[in-house]
Amino acid sequence: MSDPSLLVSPSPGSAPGDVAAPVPLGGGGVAGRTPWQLFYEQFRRDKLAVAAMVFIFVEILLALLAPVIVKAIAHPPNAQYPGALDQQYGTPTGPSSRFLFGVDTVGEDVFSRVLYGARVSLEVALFATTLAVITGVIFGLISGYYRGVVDTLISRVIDVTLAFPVLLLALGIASACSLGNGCVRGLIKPGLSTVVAAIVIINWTYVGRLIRGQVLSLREKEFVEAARAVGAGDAAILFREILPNLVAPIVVVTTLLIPQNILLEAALSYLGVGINPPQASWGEMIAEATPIFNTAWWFFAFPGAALLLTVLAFNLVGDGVRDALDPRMAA
Amino acid sequence: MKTMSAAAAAVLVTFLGLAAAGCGSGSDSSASASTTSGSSASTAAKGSDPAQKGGTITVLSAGDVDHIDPGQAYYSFSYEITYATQRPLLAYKPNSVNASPDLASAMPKVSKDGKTVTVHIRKGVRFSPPVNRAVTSSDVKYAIERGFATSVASGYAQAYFGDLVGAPAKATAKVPSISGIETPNPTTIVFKLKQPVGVFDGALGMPLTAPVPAEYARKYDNQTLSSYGLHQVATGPYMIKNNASGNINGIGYQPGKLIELVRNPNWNASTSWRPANADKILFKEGFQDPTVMTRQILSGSADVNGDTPPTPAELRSIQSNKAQRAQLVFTPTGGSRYIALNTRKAPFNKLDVREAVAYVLDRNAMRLTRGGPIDGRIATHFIDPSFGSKGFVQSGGLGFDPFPSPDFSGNVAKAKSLMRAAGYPSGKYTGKQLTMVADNTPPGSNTAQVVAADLAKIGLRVKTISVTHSTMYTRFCNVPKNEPNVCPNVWWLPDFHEPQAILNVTFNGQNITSVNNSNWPLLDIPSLNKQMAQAKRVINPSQRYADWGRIDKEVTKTAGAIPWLWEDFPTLFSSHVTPAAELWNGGAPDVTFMSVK
Repeated sequence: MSDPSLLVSPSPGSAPGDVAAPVPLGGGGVAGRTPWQLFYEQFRRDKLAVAAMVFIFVEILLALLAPVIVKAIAHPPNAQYPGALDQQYGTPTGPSSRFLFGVDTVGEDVFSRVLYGARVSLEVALFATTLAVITGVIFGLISGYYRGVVDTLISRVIDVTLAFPVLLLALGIASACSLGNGCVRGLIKPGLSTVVAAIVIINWTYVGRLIRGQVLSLREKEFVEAARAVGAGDAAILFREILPNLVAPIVVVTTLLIPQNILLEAALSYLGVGINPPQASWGEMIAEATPIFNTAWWFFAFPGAALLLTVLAFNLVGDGVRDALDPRMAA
Repeated sequence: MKTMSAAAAAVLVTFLGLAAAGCGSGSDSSASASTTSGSSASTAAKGSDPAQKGGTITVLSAGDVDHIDPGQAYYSFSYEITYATQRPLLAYKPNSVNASPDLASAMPKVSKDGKTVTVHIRKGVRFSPPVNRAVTSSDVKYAIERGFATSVASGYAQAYFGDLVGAPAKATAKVPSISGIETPNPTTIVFKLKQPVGVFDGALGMPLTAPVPAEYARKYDNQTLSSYGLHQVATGPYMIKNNASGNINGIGYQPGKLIELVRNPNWNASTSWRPANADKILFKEGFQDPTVMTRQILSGSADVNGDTPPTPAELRSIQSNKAQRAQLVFTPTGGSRYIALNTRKAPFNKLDVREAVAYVLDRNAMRLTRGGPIDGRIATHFIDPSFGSKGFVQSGGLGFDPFPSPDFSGNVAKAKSLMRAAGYPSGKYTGKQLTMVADNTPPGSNTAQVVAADLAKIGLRVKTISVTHSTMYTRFCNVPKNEPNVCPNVWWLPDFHEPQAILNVTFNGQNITSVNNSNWPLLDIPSLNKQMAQAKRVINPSQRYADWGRIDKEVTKTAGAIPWLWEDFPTLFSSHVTPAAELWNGGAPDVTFMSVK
C-alpha cells in the first residue's frame, strides 16, 4: 500500500483533499488540475483497468435488469423444469435455445441463476465492503487519534481477529449464524446477512489497522496543529482535517477488498454456510456443479466464468486506481 | 413357518416376473435394473465366484450409524455393522427376504393357539472378549428386556414385543423383568403372548434379539443413557475392535469417521452359515460427496457404498460403461421413500392442507433427483410391488393413487382448491415460515429442493436445515419434540417381509416414542390404531394381507406421509470384491458374504 502522504501534499488550512495551487512559471498560463483530473488522466491510460471498469458497469446493469432480461429470454431463477432434465436418468441437460446455459440438477435455468447470482455477488461486493470500510475507518480514526487505552483496546481486538485464518474465522461465524434463527437474537439471519456479517467482522480490521497508521502520522502534521491552534475540536479535526486526507488509501483498499469479499462469499456458499438454495449464488452453484463437472460442464463453467471475470475485473480496477493515485506512477 | 417361507419366495418370484414383464414396455428401465440386481445378488449367494479368505473390505458412507448399540440400532446402514457383529435369533442371507435360524438352531415353533413361541438356541456360540463365556437363552431374554428401558429405548420393542405377557406398556426407568419370556434351560427360550400375533416370528429377526450378557451390560444400562454400545461384545463373526476392558470408543469406533471390524476370536464357524471371508472390514465415514465415493469404488481404493447411492450422473456414466455396469447392483428394497408432514403442528394438523401437499408434489421430478426410472417406480401408497399378493395387490396395486396427477407431476389447481377449503382464500398458505430438515448431500438435498419449490406453489415457504442423513434422523425426525414441519428424506424399509412391518411401527400412534421414533408424521388416529391392533392378531395369512392392504389405503389417504418412490437401490461394488447385496435390507452390502478377489 502506498503511503498517502506521498499521494497528496496538504497544506494547513487548505480545503480537504486539495493540493497547493500550481505556481505559474515564466508568466505563462498553465491550467491548474484538480486531484480528480490528475487521477482520471492517469487511470484512463490503463486500458485494462478501463476495460474492467466497463465490464463492471455492464455487469451492474445486467444485475439490475435481471428480472427484465429473465422475463424476456429465460425462466425465473428458482423455477424448476423437471421436463428439461434427461428423463431416463434425471441428469442436467446442456445449453439449448430454450435454456441458454442449460439446466442444473433440479431443472433450474442456469442462465437465470448466473444472472441473479451476480446480484448476490455485487450486493456483497458493494454493501459488505462499504460496511467493513466504514467500520474500519471509524475505529482506525479513533484508535490513531486518541491513542492510549482506546488505541490499545482496538489494536488488540484487531490483532486477535487477524490471528485467525480468514476462511476459518468466516466459517465459524457463518456456521454459528446459519442454524435456527441466526445470531444476535435473530438480527443476523442465515443467508446473505450472515455472509455480510462475517465479511464485516473480519475485514474492518484490515481497514482499521491501515487507517490507524495513517492517522498516527497525520495527527502530527502542521495542518492539524494549526487547526487545533485555531480552536477546532476533536470531531472537526478528525472529520474535516484528517479524514479528507485518507480518501486515497480508503479508495485503494476498498477496490482491493471488493474482489476478496466476492471470493469469500463464494467460498462460504461453496462450503454450504453462505447463501443457501433456492437463492442463486455463484459459489453455491459451483459447489453443486463440481461433482458432476465431467457430465454437466455448463453447470460449472458459466457461474465459474462469471466469478472469475468479476473478480478479475475488480482486481484490475483496484490496481488501476492504486496506480492512478500514486504520484510515483505518473508519467 | 414353511408356509410363510414359500409364500415369501413366491412373492419374490412374482416380483421378478413383473419386473421382467416391465422390460417389454420399453419405457421403464427399472424393470431391467431390478432383474440385473436379482441375478447379481443370486450370483453372490450361490457362490459361483470362488470366495477367498482374508483381505480387507472398505465400505464408504456419508454419515454415521444412528446408534452403535445393537439394541438401539434401527437404520439400514447400522444393520450392516450389527448383523456382522451380532447374532439375533433369526437373520437373513443376502438374496432372501426369508429369515433363517442364526442364533436359533431351528425356526421357532408356534403353538396351535398362536400364543406360545418356542426357540432353541445353538450350542457353541460365545461372546467376544472380554466376556468370553457361552451364550445362553437368558442373554436373549435380557437383550429384549433392556429394549424397554428408557436408557436403551429401542425404537421397536413396544411395536413387536409389547404383546408379551408382562411387557411394560411404556418404557421403564430400569430394565424390566418380563414374565412372558421364559428360559427353562440355557438353550431354550419361550415367548408367551397375551394374544396371538400373526408375525411374531418376523420380530425374532430383529437385532434386539441378539444376546446381551446381563452381568456385563447392566452397569451400562443403569446409566441415564446406556453406554453399552460403546462397550458391546459380539457374537457374530466380527467384533468392533476394542481394548481389554471392552471399550470400542476411539478404538474401533470413531463416530463420524471410522468403524473397524476385526475377527471375533470366539466365533465358531461351524455354528454359522456366514462365510465371513474378509479378515477386516473398515467402514469409512464422512464421505459427503457421493461422486468422490463412487470414484473411489470404481478405482478400487474402496469396495462398496454403505449409505449413499451414486448420483444420477454417476449412474448414467456407469450404466453406459460395459465393464463398470456389472459392478452396479439394483435391489428392490420392498420399502418406500416418502415425505413426512408433522401432523401435530399447524398447518399439517389439517387434512386439507396435507392433501394439498400430496397433490402439489411433483413425484416425477422427485424421482429424477435420484436417477429417474432406473431407481424404481413412483409410489402411490406404502406396500411395495415386491410384496405382490402379500398386501400389494390387496392395497390396490398400481391402480390405487388417492392423489392422482398427470404423469405424477402434480396438480396445482387441485392443491389450491384444497388450500381454499382449509381456510386460505387465495389458495396459498399465509402463516409463518415452516422448517424442513433435509440431507446435506445429493441426491437427498436435491429432493428437498424440489419439495421446497413445490410447497412454495401453495404458499408454504420452508426454511431448510441441511444435515447428514443420520443426523436428520437422530436429532430431528426421530425425536418428536425436535421434529420439523417437513422431513423430506425419510425412507422406510420393512423390518421383515410382512406388510405389518411397513405400516405398524411407522403409522400406529401407539408406537410413537420420545426418541428413536419412526412414526415420522406422528400419526395417531384412534380408528387406524385399532385396525392395526386387530390386524396384528390375524394368523390367517390371506386375511392378514387383506387387512393390511386396507390399512395401507387408509394411511395413504391421511396424507400424513406422502409416498413417492418404491426404490430399487443401487449398490456399487469395486471390481476387487465379490458383490453381496441384502435383498431384505434395501440393497445394503452384506460384508459377511462379500469376499476379496
